[in-house]
Amino acid sequence: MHELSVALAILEMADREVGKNPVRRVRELTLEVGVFSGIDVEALEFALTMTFRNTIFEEARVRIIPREGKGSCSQCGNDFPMAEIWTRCPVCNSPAQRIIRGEELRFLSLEVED
Amino acid sequence: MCETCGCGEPSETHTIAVEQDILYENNTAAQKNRRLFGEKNILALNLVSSPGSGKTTILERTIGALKGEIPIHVIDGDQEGTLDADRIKKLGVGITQINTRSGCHLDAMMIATVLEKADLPDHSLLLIENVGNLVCPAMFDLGESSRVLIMSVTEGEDKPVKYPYMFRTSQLCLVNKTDLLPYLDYNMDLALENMMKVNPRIEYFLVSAKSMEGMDAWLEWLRQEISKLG
Repeated sequence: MHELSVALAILEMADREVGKNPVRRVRELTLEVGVFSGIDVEALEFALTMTFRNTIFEEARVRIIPREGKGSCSQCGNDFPMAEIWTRCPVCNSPAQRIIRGEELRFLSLEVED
Repeated sequence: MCETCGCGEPSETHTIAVEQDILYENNTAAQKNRRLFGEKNILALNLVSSPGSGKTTILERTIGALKGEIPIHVIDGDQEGTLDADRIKKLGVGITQINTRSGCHLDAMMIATVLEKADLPDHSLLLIENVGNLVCPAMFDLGESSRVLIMSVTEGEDKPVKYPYMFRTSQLCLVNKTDLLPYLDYNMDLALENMMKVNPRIEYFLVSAKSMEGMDAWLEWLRQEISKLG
C-alpha cells in the first residue's frame, strides 16, 4: 500500500503550494499517472480521500490523467506503444527497450479560488 | 460571486502549475545518498524479495564469507520487531534496525538518517535488507549501487510477470533455495524465461544459502563490485 506514502507526498506538495498563495478554496488537483508507474489508481484515489480528510483539499476533485506506455527499441531505434512492460519491438522483435512514456507520476497543477 | 458561501465577494479561479515528480523528495534524498556512497567508496546494495525468500540467511552467509575482507554494515527494514537484526548482530557487524510500522517499504530519507548517525567507514559494504514485499519497495530508490532481488524456488515460476516492476528495476537476481528443487515441480527454464521477458538485462545466479551451492558466484560478483570501488 505504497499509495498511502504517495498520497502523503502529494498532500505535502499541495500544502506547500497553497501556503505560498492566498487560497480560499481548492477546486481541483491534477495528477499524471503512467500505466507503468507502479501505482494502482483506485488505491491512490482511496488513499487521497483519507489523506485529504479535514484539510483544505477535502472537497477538491482529483483529476488523474493516465499515460499510456511507449518504448524506444535499443536495437533499431523504433518508438512503439507498449501494452505490457514486456512488449517487444514490433519491427525487429527485440526485447531490449527503454520505456519513454508510462512511468510518469507527477503532480501537474492545482485549481484554486482566491 | 463567491461559490463557497454566497457572500457576494468576488472570487477568482486560477491554476497553480506544480509540474513536479511526486517522488521528488525521495529521489532527491536518494541522489544525496548515492553521492555520499560514491565519495566514501561504499558499495550499497538494496536487497528486496517476498517475505520468506531467505534474505536473512543469504545475508548471514555473505557476511560470514566477507567479514574479514571489508567492513560491513547492515540496515534491516521490517514492519515490527528485531528478529532479523538479532540474527545479524551475532555475526559481529554493524547493524541498524528500522521498523517501518505501518509502512511497507524503506525510503531514501530513512537511509539518510541512518547514514548521519552510523558514520560508515570509507571503503565498506552496506547491505540494506528491505521490507519483504515485491510491490512497494520497487518504487523507492534508496541511492543504492545495485538492487539485488532474491526469488526462492518455493514461490513458483510466475513471480517476475506478477511483480514486473521489482524485476525490472533490479540488476541482479539470486534464485534461492535450489536445494529444494528435487522436492518441487519447479520449472527453472520457465522462471528464467519470465525473468528475462520482464528484464532482459538482469543478471542471475542459482544459489542455495543453506547448502552454499552456487554462493561462490554471488560472492565473486560482490568481490568484483568491491574491486571497482576507489
